Amino acid sequence: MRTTRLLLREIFHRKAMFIAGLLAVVLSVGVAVGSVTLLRAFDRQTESILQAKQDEVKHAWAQYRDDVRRSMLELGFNLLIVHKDQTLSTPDEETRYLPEAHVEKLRRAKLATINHVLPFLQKRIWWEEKKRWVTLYGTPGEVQINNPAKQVPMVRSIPPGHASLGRGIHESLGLHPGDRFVLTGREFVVQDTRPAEGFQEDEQIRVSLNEAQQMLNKPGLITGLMAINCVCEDPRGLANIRRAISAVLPDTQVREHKGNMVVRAEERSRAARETEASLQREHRNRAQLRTRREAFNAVLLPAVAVVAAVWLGLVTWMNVHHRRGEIAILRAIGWTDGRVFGLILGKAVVTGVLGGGLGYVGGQLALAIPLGFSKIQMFEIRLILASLLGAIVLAVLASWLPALHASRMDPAVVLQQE
Amino acid sequence: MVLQVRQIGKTYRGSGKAVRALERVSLDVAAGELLVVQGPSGSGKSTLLLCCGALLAPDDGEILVEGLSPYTLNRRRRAAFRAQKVGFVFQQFHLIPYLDVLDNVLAAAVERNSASRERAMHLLERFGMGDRLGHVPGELSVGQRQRVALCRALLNDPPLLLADEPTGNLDTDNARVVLRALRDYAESGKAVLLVTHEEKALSLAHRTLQLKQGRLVYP
Repeated sequence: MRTTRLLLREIFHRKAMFIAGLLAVVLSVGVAVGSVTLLRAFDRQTESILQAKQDEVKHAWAQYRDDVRRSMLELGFNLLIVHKDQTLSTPDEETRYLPEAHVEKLRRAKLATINHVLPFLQKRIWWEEKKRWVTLYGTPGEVQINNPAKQVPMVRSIPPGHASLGRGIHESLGLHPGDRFVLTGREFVVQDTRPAEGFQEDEQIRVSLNEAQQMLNKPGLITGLMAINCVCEDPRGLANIRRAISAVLPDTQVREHKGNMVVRAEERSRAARETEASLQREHRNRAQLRTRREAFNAVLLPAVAVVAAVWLGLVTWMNVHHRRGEIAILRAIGWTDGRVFGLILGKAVVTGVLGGGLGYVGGQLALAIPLGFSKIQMFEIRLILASLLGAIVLAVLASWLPALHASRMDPAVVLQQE
Repeated sequence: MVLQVRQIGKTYRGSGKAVRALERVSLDVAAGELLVVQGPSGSGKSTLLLCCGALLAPDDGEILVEGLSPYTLNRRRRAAFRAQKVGFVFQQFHLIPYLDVLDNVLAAAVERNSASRERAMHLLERFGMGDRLGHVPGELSVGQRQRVALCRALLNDPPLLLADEPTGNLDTDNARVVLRALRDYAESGKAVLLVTHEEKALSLAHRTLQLKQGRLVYP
């Protein structure tokens, strides 16, 4: 009779004991496979997160490059028209106002290089109700000079009783469109809240020019005019515009002012750099997390293997003890030490093969069910082979001493006792 | 001479006092002979049998089976020696509980071939177990179990058959069948050593010896 036949019959006969040993192997292989699979799923997730971040960075830089390209193509820039005696050298300098009628003069002059102008009256004021400094900025909105239908105005007019809030104000006060607030005793409704535009613009409360003139007691006056998106077809364009404006408005001076496009490009450049930094941070965090998980596995897996080996060793020892009479009679009828040893280790191999297979499936399912099957690579041949081989080695090592004990058992002693 | 026992002695040294189980025992069993060794419990009968069966090395003396001393062999060769030269029948049968009748007999097969299988089936038929081949020991009566154990002992046609109280658990009819089988085996030219304390075995013995406190007493 073949040893394997006896071995399999014994397994079927003592199922509970076999299952008890099998469980140890299934659990240890399951934990090992689960850990490895989890680590691989983590790696895939890391790859996916970093890829998404990289795409984000690429997109941000692409937007930045696009803005630069567009600004270069249009060669548009803004001009600031203020009183000729205004130096703008210190913040505390007294403001010299211009008559609001300059807007009409400029419009009538129909300068070809100026598309539209933005008259404004601005002053830094103490906001008593909120106990803070803000810049009150009154404007009637853009005034078209040329091609009135060419572009949608960048700064629209603000109806009386309404206000447009810069980011620094609406974020700090938690104001949203439709909310109401009081500024120097006058109630306003928030018309819109603006995104980041720059340090000065973020602290501006924009209202209608008329209301600002009333609040600042400057009827018919403005601080200056912004000539927006002026187009020059040659490098000498700016000098020509200056000359043309001075001819129409002799009490003014013309200064360059950074355009919205440039501000937006700067914002996007900053955003791209932040995204890039965030990608680096994510990379570092994921690497640290992986290292911690690896360190945890380095402790967990050997511990589980040792517990499983001890458990299986005890079960095998009990099995051998239970079969003392049977082993003694096999020895009496001529079974060699090696054959008895093989009988016990053969069972360990069966336990290892079954335990490795079931442990692999169990470990994968235990992760696939909560994480989703798409996140797990269910059939990984190298991991399957490693599970089977590892389980067999574990079971054989755990059963080695009991098998040696069985093969060295003195049949005479057992037969006399039984 | 199939079995020659020369002045053997055996002492058990456990945690307590040493017990001298056999003292200068000598006997021979020739081919074709059924020798019965009688004696009360604790007289050393089982020890004698285990020594003769190459399972328990005596402290003194010598045992030869067909002229070969099994205790001069290494463990592997001694196991092969037991398989080929010695058959055992015990009072407790010692069948393997999860193997069916045929597999229990075949567990002793030296050669794993169809000839062993045919011989096993032939023996089982001869002892009236032909219709119980697929049954496990738990499904058999004690008499049937002993017949299966007997078939296992005879499978390799050993020159020496050792039986330790083989009828101790059997009723009269089954005991008669087993004893008759032992006698027949001896008469087929083999040596049979039967140790028992039962009187009913005496009538079939060719020769009888008494063992008392480890010593042979000649009647």
